[in-house]
Amino acid sequence: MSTGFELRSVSKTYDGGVLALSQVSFEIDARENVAILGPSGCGKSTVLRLMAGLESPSSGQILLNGTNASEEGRVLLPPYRRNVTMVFQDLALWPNLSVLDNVLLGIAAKSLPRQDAHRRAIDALSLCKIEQLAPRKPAKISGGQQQRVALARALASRPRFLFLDEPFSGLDLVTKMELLSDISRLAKKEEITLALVSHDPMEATSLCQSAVVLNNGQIEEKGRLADLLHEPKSAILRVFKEQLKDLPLG
Amino acid sequence: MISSDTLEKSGRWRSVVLAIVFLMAFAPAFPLLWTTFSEASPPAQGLLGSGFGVAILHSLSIAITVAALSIFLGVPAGLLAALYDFPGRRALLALLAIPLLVPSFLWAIGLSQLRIYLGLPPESFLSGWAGTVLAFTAPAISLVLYMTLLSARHLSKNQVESVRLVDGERLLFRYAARAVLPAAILTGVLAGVLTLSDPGPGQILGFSGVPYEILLSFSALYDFALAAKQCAALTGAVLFVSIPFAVLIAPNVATGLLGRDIQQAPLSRNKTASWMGLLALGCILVTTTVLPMIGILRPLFTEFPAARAFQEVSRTLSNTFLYALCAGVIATALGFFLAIAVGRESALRRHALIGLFLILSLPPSLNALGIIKIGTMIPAWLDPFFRSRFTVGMVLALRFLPIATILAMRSFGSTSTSQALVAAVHGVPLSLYVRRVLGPILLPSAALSCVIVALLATAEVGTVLLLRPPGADSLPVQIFTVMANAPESLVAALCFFYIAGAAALLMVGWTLTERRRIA
Repeated sequence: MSTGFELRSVSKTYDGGVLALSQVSFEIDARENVAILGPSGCGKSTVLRLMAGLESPSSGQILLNGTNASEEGRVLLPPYRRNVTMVFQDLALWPNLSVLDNVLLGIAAKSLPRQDAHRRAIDALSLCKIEQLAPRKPAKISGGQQQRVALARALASRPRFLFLDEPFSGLDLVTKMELLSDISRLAKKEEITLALVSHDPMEATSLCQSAVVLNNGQIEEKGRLADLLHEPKSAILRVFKEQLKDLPLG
Repeated sequence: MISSDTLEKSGRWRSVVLAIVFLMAFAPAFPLLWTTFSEASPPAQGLLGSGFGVAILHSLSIAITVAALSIFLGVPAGLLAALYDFPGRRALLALLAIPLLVPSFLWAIGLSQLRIYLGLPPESFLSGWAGTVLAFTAPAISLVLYMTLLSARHLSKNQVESVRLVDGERLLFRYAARAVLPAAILTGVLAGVLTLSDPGPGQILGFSGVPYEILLSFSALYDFALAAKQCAALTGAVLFVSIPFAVLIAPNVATGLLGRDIQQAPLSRNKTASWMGLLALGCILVTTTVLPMIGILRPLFTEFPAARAFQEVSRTLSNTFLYALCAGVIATALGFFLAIAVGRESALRRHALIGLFLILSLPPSLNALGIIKIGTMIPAWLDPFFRSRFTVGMVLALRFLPIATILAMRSFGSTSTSQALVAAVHGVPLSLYVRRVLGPILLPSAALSCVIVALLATAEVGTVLLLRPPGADSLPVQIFTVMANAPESLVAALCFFYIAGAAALLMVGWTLTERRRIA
């Protein structure tokens, strides 16, 4: 039995007839992180939402660990039973709750004893190096710290898969690199598979071993990231490769 | 377990909720309209009463003039307040809310008293057609001004600065005007339509329209069938005007209502525009608010029967409070439920707005007479629901449901979709998400909605006049019923207490907003 996600001829059309994905098929092996790359509006986020169970496919099938999780018009396995968590582009922190409460509410469904839940939340905050921010509200901390809160909330539920939907856009380079390095470390330590949606191949190379490149709702290329970068077919990877070549690094 | 992402997913339940709430809002009118049209018609001559034709013309001329004036004056003033800073801007804006919170007939009393004080003849500009227009224009201008202000504050800093860079303030004003016009026109038309349902100013200032005819048929002639027919005719006229406007403009307003996370343009300190803003808001305030208030309060300078007035206020306080509380709480609860059901789906938002506009524009007497009709048909054990003080509150709540719903739609629209989605991914049940996250976020708007609806419901006299159980007057109804016979100083003192109460509530709201702004 395969472990991980498998998308079989998945299409998604939104209300109003907007085609977001067309006949997309690929697998995400639970042992390696995958980047879903492509230009804006190519259907990257839709893929994540479909895998998370937040949307149902208009046609096709999504399997999780070999079991049918979603099929045409139906979500068979609800999001909270897929062992995934997600960090959204806008982070989706609950603004009225403190940093600690954000993490605690994220694990409320686990029905842990109060002490255990508290300990787990503090552990997650420590892992993300923000335990000192526990009593503060999200609006009172910096953008980079907010990213870490969203990450801590995701990690506290101890997921098998962590979906990252362009969470680094808007961050300065130094903060972004710090976060990428921390996420990579944490994913290894906690044995979490990452699925990163991005239009920045640099983020992908920092975190992921394989990639799926989408364009206009269809797969343009997929495979090991190193192989793809060796002989890129898609515009996004070609440009990235050119940029790497042109960098004045001596 | 109901998942939190139910709030963000499309589903048939949304349309069902929308249909049920609208059915509730329109339901009281059905039995009235049914019996009106199923009863054998009297001879065509005098079908709606002899003075009804004239009354319709009166009402239409007032409605059209008020709508035009409120748009013509309210839009420029609102734009000046939205784009420029000037001394006293916030205070002037707060004071301009007073006409929205007091019954329009109070303003008519003020104008009437002022005319007498100034020694002007009954045919002067402070009475008759012009006086009635002036009395109705006070709340209408404020309404349009506020809508313009809110819409213009939706322009982002980048939009404003890029237009300024192209061709300065004049182009910015034109650009902003074009952006706010759909919402402002809709509001102006609504303000005009609302005059068709309000009997007060016309009756006091000697230019009676349709609503007064209806009140006369019901309360003085005791002819329910005639009142019902007049009400149906008025409803037809109102719908004839409202439906095309609502259908045309609702899509634009529906998009504007979705909260956008934008960086607002800071208020500019352009010298000329700031002076113009100060002058415009000042002139509007003096004409529409200060002058009638001088008229209202003038008799108090010679005699202030505080004890007698206080006695009347105490006697009516519990009813006033009960009607206001019922209306505020029920409208807010229904409004927020409706707003969440409508969610972010543009088609549903559009349909909801059209329905809400129609609810607000329908004559309040339609539902009130409908409830009276139902009251005559039901068994006695249902009296608490159809012939009690609760009934008054409930009908007022349905009347002001649109205000609560629009506030709720705006508030819900400004929350992020992904907040509910992330809760769903984490398995947070809907009930827990609402209790811990959504509820507390929406609570300030819900409280504001409750206060605004309570104040508007208190100011609505027509419904209470028709539906109140014997002896259960509210303060405005008490003023309305005693104003013809009581000493003018007592009427003035009652008005003073009412305005002071509304202003105090307004000040509390203003202070709280100011504190939140500073924080």
